[in-house]
Amino acid sequence: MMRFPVIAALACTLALGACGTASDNPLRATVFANLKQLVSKKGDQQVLTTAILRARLTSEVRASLGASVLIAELPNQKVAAVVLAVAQNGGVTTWQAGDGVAVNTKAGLLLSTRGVGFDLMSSSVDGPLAMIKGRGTGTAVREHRGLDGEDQLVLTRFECTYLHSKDTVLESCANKNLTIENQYWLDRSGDIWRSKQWSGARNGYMLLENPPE
Amino acid sequence: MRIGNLVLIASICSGYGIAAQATSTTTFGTPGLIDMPSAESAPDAELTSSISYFNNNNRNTLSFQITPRLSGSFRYSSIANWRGSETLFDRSFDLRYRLVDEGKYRPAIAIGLQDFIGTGAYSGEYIVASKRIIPTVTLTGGIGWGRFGTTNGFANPLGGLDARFNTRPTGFTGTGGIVESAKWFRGDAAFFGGIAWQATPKLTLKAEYSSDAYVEERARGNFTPKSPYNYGLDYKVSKGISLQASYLYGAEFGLGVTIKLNPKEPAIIGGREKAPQPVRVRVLTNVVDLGWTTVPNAQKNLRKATQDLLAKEGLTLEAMSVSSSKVTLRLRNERYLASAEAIGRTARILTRVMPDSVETFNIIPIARGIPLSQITLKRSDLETLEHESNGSALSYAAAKITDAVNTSDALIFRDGLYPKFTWGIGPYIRTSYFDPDSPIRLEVGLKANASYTFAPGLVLSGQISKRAVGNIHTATRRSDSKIRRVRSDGALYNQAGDPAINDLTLAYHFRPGKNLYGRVTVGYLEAMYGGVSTELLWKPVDSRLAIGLEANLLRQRDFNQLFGFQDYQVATGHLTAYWDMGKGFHSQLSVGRYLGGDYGGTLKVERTFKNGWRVGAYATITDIPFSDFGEGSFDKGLLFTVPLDHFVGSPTGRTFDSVIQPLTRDGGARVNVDGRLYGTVNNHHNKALKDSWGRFWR
Repeated sequence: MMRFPVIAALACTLALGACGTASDNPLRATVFANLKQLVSKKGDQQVLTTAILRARLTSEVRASLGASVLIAELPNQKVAAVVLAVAQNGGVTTWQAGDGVAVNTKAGLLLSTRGVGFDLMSSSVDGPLAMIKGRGTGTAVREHRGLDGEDQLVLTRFECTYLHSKDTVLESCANKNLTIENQYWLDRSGDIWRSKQWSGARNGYMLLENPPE
Repeated sequence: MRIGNLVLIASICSGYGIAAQATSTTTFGTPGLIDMPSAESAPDAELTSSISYFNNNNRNTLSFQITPRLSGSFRYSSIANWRGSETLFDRSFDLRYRLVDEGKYRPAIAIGLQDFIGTGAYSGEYIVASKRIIPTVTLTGGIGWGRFGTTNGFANPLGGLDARFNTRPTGFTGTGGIVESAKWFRGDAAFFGGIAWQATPKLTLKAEYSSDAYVEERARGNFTPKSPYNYGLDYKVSKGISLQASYLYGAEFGLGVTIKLNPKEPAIIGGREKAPQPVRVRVLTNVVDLGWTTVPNAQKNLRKATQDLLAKEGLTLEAMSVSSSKVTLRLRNERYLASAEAIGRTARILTRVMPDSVETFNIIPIARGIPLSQITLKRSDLETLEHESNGSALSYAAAKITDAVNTSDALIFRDGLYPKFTWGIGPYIRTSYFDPDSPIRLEVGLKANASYTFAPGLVLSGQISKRAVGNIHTATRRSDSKIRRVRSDGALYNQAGDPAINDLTLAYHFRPGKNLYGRVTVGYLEAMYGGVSTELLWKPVDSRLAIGLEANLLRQRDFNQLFGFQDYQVATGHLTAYWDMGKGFHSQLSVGRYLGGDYGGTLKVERTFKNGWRVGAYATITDIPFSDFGEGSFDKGLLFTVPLDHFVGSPTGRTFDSVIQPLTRDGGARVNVDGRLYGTVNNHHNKALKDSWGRFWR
């Protein structure tokens, strides 16, 4: 007969609950209460979409948020959120939601996501950006980095071509294993105000929209 | 532990992250057909636990795909009606190696040793080939020896090489548990084969011709085959769970369940923790502004602001000092197993808090009060690399990781951090395996712990427990050891220790010098021993090699696990080399004196995963003769370190450490002490930081 040390209790301590000063459970009190309110599911609503959030973003609500906002949606994952511009770094805007989800964009192009799980860690989009802004018709290279199960970064490289119409750009990108199609809607000054952009195999396309004032 | 916990974890969290693949499991818990193996391998790193049952025969197997080609299994079986009505409880180990990969025309070929250590009830060897002829149909054929050579056996073809191959020795050596290579591929051989048809993505149907005649089982009245043909099905319930049903040998129905788990496939890749604080980019003109240094309480206010933001990320600031261009801080990270993520989050918080003139960030992670390394980052690098496509590799290249001895002298500790008192009360579950009278025993109770930290590194702590219900303490089987019972009296400890003082120690961790770490622990170290344990570790921050020296003076505790001692006293000690071999393998060799006063060595080899998983095995051989050691001949076991993050998908900082020790006896036993140095230190050294740097920008 044998005896084993008492480590197994950990899981159960978590499951059954334990008390004491040793448990450190910080609560994240943020200024994002308004955002949380905004994305709360009401009534029998099951899935939030860009359209629902757009309707909720009345001018009073926007004024109360006090910064520019984007609506971000992952149709594959059936989630959507309103994200608030919280930081700028060299042309990159960091947008954050109330629940810790964040999106980084450069002139409207998705660079990375955080807090979603299976996140897009970083991207290189300077070539594509020049094509979109300059209405170029050649090819550009797009790089995406994500983590694998052992936390190692994996690089995915795409070669992209561009199709311009009056106020949209269609970006078709491919590599040996995968073909993706991003789409951008431009406003009168040529800025991206709405887009559908690939964010990774698991999360699929992300819809981003700068809701009309 | 604890196969049980792995099974439990796997079943709670099943459905997460196991790759779709078509290999199914035999009654022996290995990849194959029904009772016969195939040449297929599980995906690299997959852990499989399986339970199978048919008339009188129950097999519980844990298999691990050690490398893409090599796999190993540990099996605990109960074979009823073995001697009259008596049940044989048997432990067995297998190894198999895929020699040839499947090609367009070429089949995959594997060679296997089943039950190659020990009493050999299941011993058999095979060479097997498998070929997928169409995407859904796989044919398998092989030649087997030992128990796989007993139906329509023929003279061993290897007999032509050497006449010794013609006869297979019977029985086993001494007290079992040692490698029985003299039997391998000896005696008659026989052919086996079969077909697997994946009828639907979830359902695979199988038929085989078995070369196992169950000779011993038939002779002892355990099981009598009527035909060599078996038919079975494998149904995939979810990604991680499949069920097997079979009609075996024209005689019995069998059932099985297999749970698969892959350390490389966590529930949520990268986790779902909240986004980090974004970097605050400085205004160039402010960089030379030193006005803040004249503000009263500037140091204190900066410390408070940093500490508050760190607390939101589950990190603790211990001490800090800020000069006009540099900040140095001591960081306690108990949440992020990926140490680089803790460093990255801290660095970004510093960009938000520190005045613009502060360019250099020195972050010193600490554990058990001692500084482990110093990571020096340039703030301007953080600003330029935050959104850089290759920002992770570039920021690792720009970081300086150095020894942290003597770095803390000028730091100002937080007010009210020491002395620190913590306590906790919670439930516990304990399990005990492999008692022939009751192979699984369980206990549930309440434990309370408390610790008082006088100063960084100096901790008084203890834990008591009281059982509520369970049957571990009712075990009646007593040690039959011929040598001093230094470990095998567990049943007596379990019976008498209620309530028990699990441990009560005063521990001091310190840095004696550069590359050196020290520990002294005094008190009731563990359930069975008390005394003094000392340790010195040499581990340069960027070295893959470490050397440790441990010396202990121990006394065996009373069975009631209160304050008294028995009159057995022993000095033990080990010299240990730890070697990170790269490519995901880690080895550890210790030589020294064990609890029984025996001299010898322990070799431990683990496959390590960069996300914190470890799966390994160890063996200890000492100067105690195998015959005196008793059943198993020498101490050996399997080791598992499982991060909880794998299942919950967010950082918890918690791991389960488990040892499956098929037999606990008195040779080659070591004392258990909390806070051994290598495990404390290693996770914040260069190699671990580099391995986790992909999460720096998370």
